Amino acid sequence: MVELANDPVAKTLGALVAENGARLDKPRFSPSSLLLLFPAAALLIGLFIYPVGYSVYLGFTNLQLIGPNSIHFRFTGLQNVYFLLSDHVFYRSIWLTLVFVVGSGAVGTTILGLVIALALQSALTSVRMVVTSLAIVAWTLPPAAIAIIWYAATTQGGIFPVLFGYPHADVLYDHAMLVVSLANTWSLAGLATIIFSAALRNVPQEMLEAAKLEDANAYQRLTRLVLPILKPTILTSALLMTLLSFGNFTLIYLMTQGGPGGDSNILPVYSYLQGFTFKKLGYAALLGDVIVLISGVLGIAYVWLAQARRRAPKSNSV
Amino acid sequence: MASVSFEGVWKVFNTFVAIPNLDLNIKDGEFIVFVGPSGCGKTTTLRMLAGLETPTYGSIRIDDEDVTLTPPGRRDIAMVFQSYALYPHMSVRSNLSFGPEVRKESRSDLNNRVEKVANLVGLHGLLDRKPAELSGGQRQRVALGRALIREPRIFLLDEPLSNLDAGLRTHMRAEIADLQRRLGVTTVYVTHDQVEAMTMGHRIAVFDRGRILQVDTPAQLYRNPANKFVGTFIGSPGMNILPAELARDGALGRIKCLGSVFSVPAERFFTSTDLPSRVELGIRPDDLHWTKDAPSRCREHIFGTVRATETTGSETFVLVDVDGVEVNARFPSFADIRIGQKADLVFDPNDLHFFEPESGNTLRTEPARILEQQGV
Repeated sequence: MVELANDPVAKTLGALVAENGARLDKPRFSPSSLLLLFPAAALLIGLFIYPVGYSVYLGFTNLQLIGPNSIHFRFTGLQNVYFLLSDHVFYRSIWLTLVFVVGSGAVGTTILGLVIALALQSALTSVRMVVTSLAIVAWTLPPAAIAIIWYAATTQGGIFPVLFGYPHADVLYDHAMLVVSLANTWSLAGLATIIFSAALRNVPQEMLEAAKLEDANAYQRLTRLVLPILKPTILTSALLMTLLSFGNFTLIYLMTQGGPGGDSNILPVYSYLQGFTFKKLGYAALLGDVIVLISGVLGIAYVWLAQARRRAPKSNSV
Repeated sequence: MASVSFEGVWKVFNTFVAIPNLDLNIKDGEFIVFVGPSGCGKTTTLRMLAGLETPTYGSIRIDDEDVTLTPPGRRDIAMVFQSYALYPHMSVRSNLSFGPEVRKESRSDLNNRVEKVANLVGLHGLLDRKPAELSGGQRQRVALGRALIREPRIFLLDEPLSNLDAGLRTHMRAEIADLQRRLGVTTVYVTHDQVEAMTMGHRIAVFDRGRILQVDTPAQLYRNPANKFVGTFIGSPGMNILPAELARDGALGRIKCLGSVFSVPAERFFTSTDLPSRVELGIRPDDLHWTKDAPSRCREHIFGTVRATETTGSETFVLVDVDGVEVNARFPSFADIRIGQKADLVFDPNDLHFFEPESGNTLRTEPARILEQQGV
């Protein structure tokens, strides 16, 4: 016989807790876990938080690379910040950084990667393997090698000027920002291709067949079904490419040193130049702080997007 | 509304012959069910009709128009997939209106059409939900609605009920059959479930290893299977298949089986006079009766020991060991019978099926009872 009065479902949750004590299925804290967390915490603090904190401090000092201020530097308050706010090169650098990371990183890489991934989707297996391998090679090449390839290909007598019939033109000098952007897009497109290829494999085939039976043509299937389903992947990939482009200091520094005339002077390059060419380490550190701020915001956006994507219902379960 | 014919259709995947030389005619307005075990080629045949697979050889005609190489969207066919294949990022309304929109059909009455179809399949009030917010049965209805809004010549349904729970499946089975009756559209329905096939189809095509073994009405398939595979596949629990010896004795065929010898009129029973001596005898559990509960026409007696019983509520299936061979027999529900007891069984030789042991083809003419029922 079941006695209804003792039916646990009929009770309120509060009464249940009062009778049986704390819930067993709540996460419990064990002090010994602190010990196990300690090594990771020590590394994080020693190698990341302390250096970043110290560089924030340096941004408010008059530290120099050589000279008396290289040892006896002192805290100068907001002096560096006032200088920063009146520095025209800084504003131009911010603008160039935006053009570089958004134009080349977010937009360029995403479009190129998506086009390659879509083209590879129905390609022969052999073609797909060769092209994917090449794209991965382009992505894994060290920035120095990429810089040399694109430098050689775009300066006077390089393959691009010769191909287009102007062997004496120096494309890199005339269109510095365009060339470094192309080089960056070229090097990151392989990664984007891999991301999009994986996402395309998750687009349900039967759904596309259903659309074929509805007489939807290839363009309608792409724009109305595939791209909307890929939207979360496109956003995540674009943001990741933005972050990776932001850190791509080596490529630009090796190809143009931010020149000519500051045409490709993105923030990381400008910071390097301030510190190691003009020896103003304190000001360079402040520029570095701005970089940390911007990439911090981008990083938070990336994590947020990735989580939003995980929370979204899975498309292929429908 | 349309008739369909497959003529000499082959489908070869790499080197695997999935469909060898298939011929089939589907009548206008007919509800035909393709049934068979997994991998028997029924879905491949459906996909060839839809245009999602191209036949290796042969031709497919819809209303005498050769559609073998016509792209799927130009065949005026609607299909419901096993996975439903809904557009996950679109609302139910957009799922329904996607087809008319991409086909550039007039937008003026599109809203009315969507509402009408939604009412027809019972989706009223759910039009603004996404597929992820619907239950399995509701998604199934969206898939059906998407097929209905097209008003196609032919409906194709590929195992549409296999993802639903048992109760809902029975309900949707009746609903789909009713919908087809009202609309009168030629419908091809693929399933591996013989109960679905028997309850829904006007005619059933039984597939095995890429071949159609028999195309017939449910009653004919059940009463007059063309071979052993059809006999055992259709009906639940399956037909008992027993080794038997057959000898010709004048006008009679003498059969030795189940520890008993009995005879049947050979001319009325067998199509051929040249009979093998070893045959396989088939008898359905429903035709093997308990003595206490048997029609008077059952003359042949056999005896055995009960090995196992299985009660479904409306009936009890009893596994009886007769002379070392186990046969399944249907007893009335909650029959007073226990494991280890002796059981007396009777049957009517008219209900027996005889199969050629190698090919599995039937040796029998059509049972007289069926002919009587059909008034021949």
